[in-house]
Amino acid sequence: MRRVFLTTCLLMAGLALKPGTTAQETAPEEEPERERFEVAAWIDHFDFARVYDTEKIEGLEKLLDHVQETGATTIWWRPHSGGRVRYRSEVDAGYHNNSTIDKRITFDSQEVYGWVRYGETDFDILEEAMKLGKKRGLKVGVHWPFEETHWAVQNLGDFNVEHPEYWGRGRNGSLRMINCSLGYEEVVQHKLALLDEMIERGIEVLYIDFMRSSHNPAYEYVEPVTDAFKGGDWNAHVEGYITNYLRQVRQRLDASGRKIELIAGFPNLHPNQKHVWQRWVDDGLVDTLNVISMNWDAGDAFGSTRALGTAFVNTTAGRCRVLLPIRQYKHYTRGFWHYEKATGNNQAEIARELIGIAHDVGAHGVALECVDYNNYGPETRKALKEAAEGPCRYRVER
Amino acid sequence: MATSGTDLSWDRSDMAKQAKAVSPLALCHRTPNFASTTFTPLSQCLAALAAAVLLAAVAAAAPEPLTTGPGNDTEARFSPDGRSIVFQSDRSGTLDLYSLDVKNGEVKRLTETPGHSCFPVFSPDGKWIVYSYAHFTKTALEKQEHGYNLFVIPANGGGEPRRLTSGLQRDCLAEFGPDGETVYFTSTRGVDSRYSGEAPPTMVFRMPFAGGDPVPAIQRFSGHMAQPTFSPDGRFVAYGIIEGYDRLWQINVTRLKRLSDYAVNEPDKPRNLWDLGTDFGLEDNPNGQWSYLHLTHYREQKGRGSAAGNPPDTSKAILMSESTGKDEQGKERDGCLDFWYKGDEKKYVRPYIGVARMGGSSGDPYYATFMAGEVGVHPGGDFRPGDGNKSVLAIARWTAPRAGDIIVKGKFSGIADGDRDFYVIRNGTKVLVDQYSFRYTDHPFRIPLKVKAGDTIDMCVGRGVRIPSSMAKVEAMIYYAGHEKLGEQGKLLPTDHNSDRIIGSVKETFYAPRWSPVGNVIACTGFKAGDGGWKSYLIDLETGAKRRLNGEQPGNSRSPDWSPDGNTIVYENNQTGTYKLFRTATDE
Repeated sequence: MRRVFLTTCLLMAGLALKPGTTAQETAPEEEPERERFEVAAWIDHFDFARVYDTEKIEGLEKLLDHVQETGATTIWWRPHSGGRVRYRSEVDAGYHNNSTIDKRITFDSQEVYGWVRYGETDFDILEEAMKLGKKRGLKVGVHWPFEETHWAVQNLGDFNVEHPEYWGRGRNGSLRMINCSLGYEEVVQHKLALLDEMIERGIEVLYIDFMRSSHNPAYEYVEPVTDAFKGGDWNAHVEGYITNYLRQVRQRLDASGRKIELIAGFPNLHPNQKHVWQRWVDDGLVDTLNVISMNWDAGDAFGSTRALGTAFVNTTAGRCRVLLPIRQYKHYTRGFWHYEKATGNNQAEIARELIGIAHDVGAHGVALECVDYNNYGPETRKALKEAAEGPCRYRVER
Repeated sequence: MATSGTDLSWDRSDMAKQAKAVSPLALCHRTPNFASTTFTPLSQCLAALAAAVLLAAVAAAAPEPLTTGPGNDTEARFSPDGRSIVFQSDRSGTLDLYSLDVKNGEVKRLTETPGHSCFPVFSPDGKWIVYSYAHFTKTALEKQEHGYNLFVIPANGGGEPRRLTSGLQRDCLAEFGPDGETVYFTSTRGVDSRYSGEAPPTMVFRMPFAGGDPVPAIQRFSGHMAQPTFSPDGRFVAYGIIEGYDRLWQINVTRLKRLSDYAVNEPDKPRNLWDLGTDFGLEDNPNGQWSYLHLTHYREQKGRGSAAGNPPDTSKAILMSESTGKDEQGKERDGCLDFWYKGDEKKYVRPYIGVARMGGSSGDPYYATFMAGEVGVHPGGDFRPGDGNKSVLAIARWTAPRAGDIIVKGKFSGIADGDRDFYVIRNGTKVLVDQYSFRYTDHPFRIPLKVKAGDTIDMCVGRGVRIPSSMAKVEAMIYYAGHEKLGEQGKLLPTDHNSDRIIGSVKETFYAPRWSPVGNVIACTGFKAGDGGWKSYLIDLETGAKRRLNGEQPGNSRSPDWSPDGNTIVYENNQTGTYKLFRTATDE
């Protein structure tokens, strides 16, 4: 079994911030033997593009300032979005992203106004973001949704539209333009090549969320997968391709010579539910489980949240790190909005309560979905920061 | 400036000579008549045979590279005289336009711009090139005044580009209409508040080449339309259509007349009245005998009763199609149905579906569905003289293509509380008035009438006066006596969601159609399982046969375009790693 991953969360010591200090100021050193309680911020940096000039370094600095108002210790930077690469990738020509019209995805095109061309900046944005984050003492990484670059949801990347031969297929042979199958080695290699680019740019964390598509065996009836199927459980057979892909991801990370944390995130998790993440943890593929959402009881919102958090910590039993959710969004339910409805508290109060619960139950941290511009209001950011740098500064071993 | 050349001496292959044997087809300039049964079996066989020979010849001809060097050369279009090809290329680092002399292979750069110049097309007289151009600011936050807009330059380059469109949306894929004076193009400019998220729809707009305001030409509430191309005789248009991310591109072939009649904002033109006698000749009506309609009147309104929009302001009607609700099986369906039965294929075909978006007196839009073809949106009016209530909202007009005995049959029903009116009017005279249909009560009717060619039958649905209604529905069929079997057992024809002609299915996808200048063949880009990538396809509209163009050539082969004589196709292929232009012979 893979050893529990702890080293990367053992401080960014000397660089963390005191409450009230600016992001650029150097914070006092951490106590080296204590594990920092993590506050990870999902960052869709392109959502800041109309506020800060994110195609310039000054804009990135402002973006990080804003994010750090939440007390974030970790950034999960989105290197792509819906299949579009958003840095100067050599692997995927889609770095021109929204600025180029493609006949096949004319409907996918944003207004030119207000949209960015991250492939044409004077510097590589992903590389620069990682540098800036490290300079601030943050743990830096990428949020790379599982489906992106091969299984687009909201828009289509170049790889999808250029390679119909790798598209997924339904049992009846129907084609799925948005879905390239991992049954094709070329698809896996394409994703691994993109991963190599991220590793080269200095990531310390690879966070793969399985929020949108997760496993969908219904569209995996492509020859490599069907030819290898010898009967039995089709779903399990298909899942094997995802596990195999993750295994190769793990190998790439390990081959980098650096310690790069691999996080898997799932929505609607229950600690007692049999789930693939448990096997991935047992197989040493995954270092950290990010619980994107969990179905707490509206009749006892905080009490049930605490119970579930405790159960997750207990069930993982030190085999992997656990991050518990603080989430702005309504999808999958159980976000701020639902807590507000269930408790009558405002978001700042809820945020303070949730980070406290995660800390109390012995989780390794919380993950904030998503820290877009003002997605978490000023009072909420302040509450989170005060907790993250105050009573929740260090993780409590349970 | 000449930048590079290649040997373009044409290999007059045996296959090309063989293709010459089909030149009679080329002379026919036939337009597909897939909705027709007027072809004799012999003519159909000959047409199919000729098309098959043409397809075989095209599919077997060897590809010849036209461009070399760095960068991607794509989106090639022939000039009207066939002597040059205009294309876009990123060979210089930015996307610019180039022309290729077909005879000597000389390449000339036409634009040298800091932005993207793309999707060029020649004007019919060969003097101009219309293209899409965007000049970006350094960063998104610096903002810019325009998105992708259409521009015009002389065909040999030089001169200041003339702006055709403006605005922040994306205008692209320009194409000249059959009149040679109208530019059709694909655009996101139709986006309004109904749409949100990351997928603004594209629709096809049209505008005068001389300049003017774009107006919608092909648009729907759902799905995305793009890439129009026109039949040689200008009667039909084919365009790409896709419903969303999880769907595939398909090609829809429909009648241009319906599209050109989207003239809702042109006060000098009769509004949206299609006429079977002129727009649908007997040879176009599948059996020449009957038509069928399903007309729904409903509206969205803030208030009820007197607060409802009354009378309607149809002068602001915008025609479009829409999926409106679900059928009895819970499936999404179009709100208005029009089906033709193709006796030879035993299929029901829906020519087109439309919805009129109207502005009520309350200012809120509401929608009246209609079918294009025989039905238009009538201005409405006082069909109950004396009561002052101009309540009729939507009218379907059928014009008799010939004299005879017709049967007007159908059922009228309310959909919600309240009463509503239904009228059948022949040449302006009422023949049936049903003023009450409470809730879901069906009111069947069957009216035999004698008509002369050119007689009009209007069916009008509107709100009632006693209890103002919100919705009413008519399903009706008009047919000449003796053809009642089509509606036998008193049932209306089954619903079907096919359009005129859809090319594509869940197992294959096609986009970017280019109509052959001769015959019934459309060239396009497509993919089927096993293709190994995008391929250029040739689709025979008469037989439905689909053939790959140079299918053995490695890599993607995309965006085919016909030479004006129909003997050559130019396309782009990336077998060398970047896209280069190739051509292949069809005929001489």
